[in-house]
Amino acid sequence: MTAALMLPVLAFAQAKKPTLMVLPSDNWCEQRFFMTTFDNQGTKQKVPNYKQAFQEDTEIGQVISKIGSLMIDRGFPLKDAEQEIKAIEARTAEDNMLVSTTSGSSIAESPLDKLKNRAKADIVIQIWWKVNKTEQGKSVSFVLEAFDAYTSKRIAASTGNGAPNSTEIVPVLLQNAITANIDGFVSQLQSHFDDMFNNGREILLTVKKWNSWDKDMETEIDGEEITEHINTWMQKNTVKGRFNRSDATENIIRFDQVKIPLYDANNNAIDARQFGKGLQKYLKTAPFNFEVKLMTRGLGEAILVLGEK
Amino acid sequence: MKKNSLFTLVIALLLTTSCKTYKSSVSNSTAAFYNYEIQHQGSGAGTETVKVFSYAKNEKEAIELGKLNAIRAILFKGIPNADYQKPMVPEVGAEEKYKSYFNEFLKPGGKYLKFIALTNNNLDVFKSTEQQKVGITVTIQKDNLRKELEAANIIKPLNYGF
Repeated sequence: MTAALMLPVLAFAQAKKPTLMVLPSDNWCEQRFFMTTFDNQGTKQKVPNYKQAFQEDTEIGQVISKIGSLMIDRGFPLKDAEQEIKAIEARTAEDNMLVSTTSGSSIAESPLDKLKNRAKADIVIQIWWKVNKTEQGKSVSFVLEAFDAYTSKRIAASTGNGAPNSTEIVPVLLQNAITANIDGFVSQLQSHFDDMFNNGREILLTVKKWNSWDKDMETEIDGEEITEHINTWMQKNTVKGRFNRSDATENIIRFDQVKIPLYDANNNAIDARQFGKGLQKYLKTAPFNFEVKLMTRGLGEAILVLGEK
Repeated sequence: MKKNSLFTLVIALLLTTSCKTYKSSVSNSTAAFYNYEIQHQGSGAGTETVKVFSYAKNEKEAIELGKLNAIRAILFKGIPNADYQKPMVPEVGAEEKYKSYFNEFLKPGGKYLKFIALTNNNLDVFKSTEQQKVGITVTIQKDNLRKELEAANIIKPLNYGF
């Protein structure tokens, strides 16, 4: 009876849907001079200026639009980077103007909040193309790659070189390049999602400590170091105990390739935040009784800081 | 001497008959479906154009077989150099698993013909005494075909589970 009741729930359980965003690759931005240089503590650094690229380049709009329409057709609408940049600017302007009518207080924003206030997605699709001129006409070289924003893993890639064509205009060549590359790309993306449904979502988890805390990761509690207690919790709560402890010092523990279940015991979809919350609760209770701050980056990264909030 | 020649003649006749029976059955067996060559010609908006070389007794049979083979290739084999280098139905053994669906879908005059957009009548014909190798150019409506298989729950849509 219980199993019969559970089945429809399981059948309709839906995992948290990752957001996808198309951005031009750094190399494409560099080649078309859409880069901004800034001084990072004495070192000159170049970063892509996406806003300028969207405003000035004549090809990027149609390429992103074409990819977007093909992804809508697949039931996976993309987050539009250009609109997202505009929305962030509008929200920031409104927040700056917002004051409480009773106390005159403004909106609280930490330096970290400011830094995080940028266009982001769980999966970033990078595009690169180049129009080649040959004696037989023009051809397009095209690269489409998808990266997991948290694990930095390449989850899908498709590259191609179109045949030289002397009759078609560049926009048509670009459209042809996209339609000729999208199916292979999407099937790799599908394999990534299949793996996620079979083996869990891959996240990053970092445990740090505040400088002011009187303990560290090597402090022993009930005869075992805090690191080992956390490790045991990870073994019990990850899918098939899959995770790597890539760094472990007295101040920090980094776990990568952490496979977390997509649903909790109540069949609710979970992400890095809910998973991190589980560890936060464990460390808040006896015998630890720690104060723990939990921060997240999207669906795939959780950071816990021990000692205070 | 006469007896020997008669014996040789009977043996020769028997061999010829058995060979003919084998060859005629080949064109109707599943072996004929797998015996084809495919070449990618180009991709369009939701379409894939291929050249298929099939083996059959006559041109008419080869043209029909060519359309069927083009669909079979994109579904179960993949097309070299095309966007679907891997099969559209990625599950190993799907053809057997969904046998009843595919038997109906791929039967002569079956639903698969809905996904053939264009067939070029410029044939490449290579004749031999027993068979003809016929090459036809076929345009497959790959997006519609994918949607058909998604609706039939043979393949999963990209947003499945979210």
